[in-house]
Amino acid sequence: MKALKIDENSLTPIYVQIADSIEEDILNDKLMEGNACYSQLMIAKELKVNPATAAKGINLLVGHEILEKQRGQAMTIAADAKSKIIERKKKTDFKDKIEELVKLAKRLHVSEEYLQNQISKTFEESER
Amino acid sequence: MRGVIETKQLTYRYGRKTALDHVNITLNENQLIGLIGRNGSGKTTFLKLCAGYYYPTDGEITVFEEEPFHRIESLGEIIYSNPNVYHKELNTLEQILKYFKLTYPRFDAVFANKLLVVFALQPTMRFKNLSQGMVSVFNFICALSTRARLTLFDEPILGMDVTSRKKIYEILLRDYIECPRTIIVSSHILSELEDILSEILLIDEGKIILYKDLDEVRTMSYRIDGTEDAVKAFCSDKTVIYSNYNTMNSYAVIEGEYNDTIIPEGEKYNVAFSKVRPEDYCVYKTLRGGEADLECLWER
Repeated sequence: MKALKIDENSLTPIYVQIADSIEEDILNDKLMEGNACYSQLMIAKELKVNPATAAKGINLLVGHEILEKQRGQAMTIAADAKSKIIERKKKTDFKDKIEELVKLAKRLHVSEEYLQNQISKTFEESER
Repeated sequence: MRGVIETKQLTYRYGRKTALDHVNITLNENQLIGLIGRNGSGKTTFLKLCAGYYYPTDGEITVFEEEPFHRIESLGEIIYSNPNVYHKELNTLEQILKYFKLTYPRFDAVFANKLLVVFALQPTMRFKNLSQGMVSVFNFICALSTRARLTLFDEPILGMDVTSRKKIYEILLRDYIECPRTIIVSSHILSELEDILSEILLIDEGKIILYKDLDEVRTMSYRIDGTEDAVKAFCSDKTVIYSNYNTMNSYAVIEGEYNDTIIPEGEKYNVAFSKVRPEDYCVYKTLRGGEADLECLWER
């Protein structure tokens, strides 16, 4: 499991943080689609959280159809988990960040054009 | 989920003082429960009633569907442990472990001896020569190794250094995962314990004021910081459990869930959100009137 450090002071509940880190591991191919996910007890042991909290994290992903319950064995990663995560994150995390950025731009009286140029520039730099 | 401990109008009095006051509660099986409360709130009395040390003054309590006070056979299934458990002074740790082996059918002597090694305790040490911290560690080891179906720890970490406390929490969680059973831990330091707990039982002035899944408690309140006017405006339609207004910064703790609908409201009033930890939530819930105002101490 990724070196996930649970942030005790975050407003994000611990079980949501657990779900987020599993999604992160799916996105960067540490967990592959069709393979088994970390078990509830493994998460509890490694992150030192109560198994009930770990189960809530897993169930959240089952609800989002990222994980699938298999009879008698660990949860498996859904075949289209990655694209589902990306689609959802576009609507949530990504949208939030853009809103934040636009708000900041307005506070600093930055024009839309300047903002777009800066984004293009950062894109180019990251691809170099 | 099945109930392990059930109480009906459970009351206990020491002379005129009422320690537990008509408590009605059903505790779920196989949970790791934190029993939280202020000094003298009734925690120890509650645990001792569960273990059958006391007989209720009024009302009733059942553990595994039996009255713990009357059922001698179930003694091996219930362990009450506190850091001051008395052992005959001559006994070595080894001899005390033997006593536990005889009394508790599920006692795991191999596990107990491994734990002694982890905490650098030798079986030949004499109990009377142990420091308070070591006594606490030893009593914890004994009680955990009984693997009793109901394990009650009363302030297990008394006098322990921070390294031992961290080890204790880790061992407690891991052993609970390996051998699920009902464990109740009373403690004044909830912040250290909260990650490993599944439920919390908050007791105040002899009454249970909260029994909930800890993940729920984590989302039951939040704090906002801002100017006095902003905080007051934001709070106007909300339940405030604590507030503090100062010139430089004002804040309020609000009972309710922090969610996406609250965020734009916060932006409107320009207040900042932060988390209220379960420990602080319990502090706010058990504050007595006027207690938070310390300024009066220095008034002339």
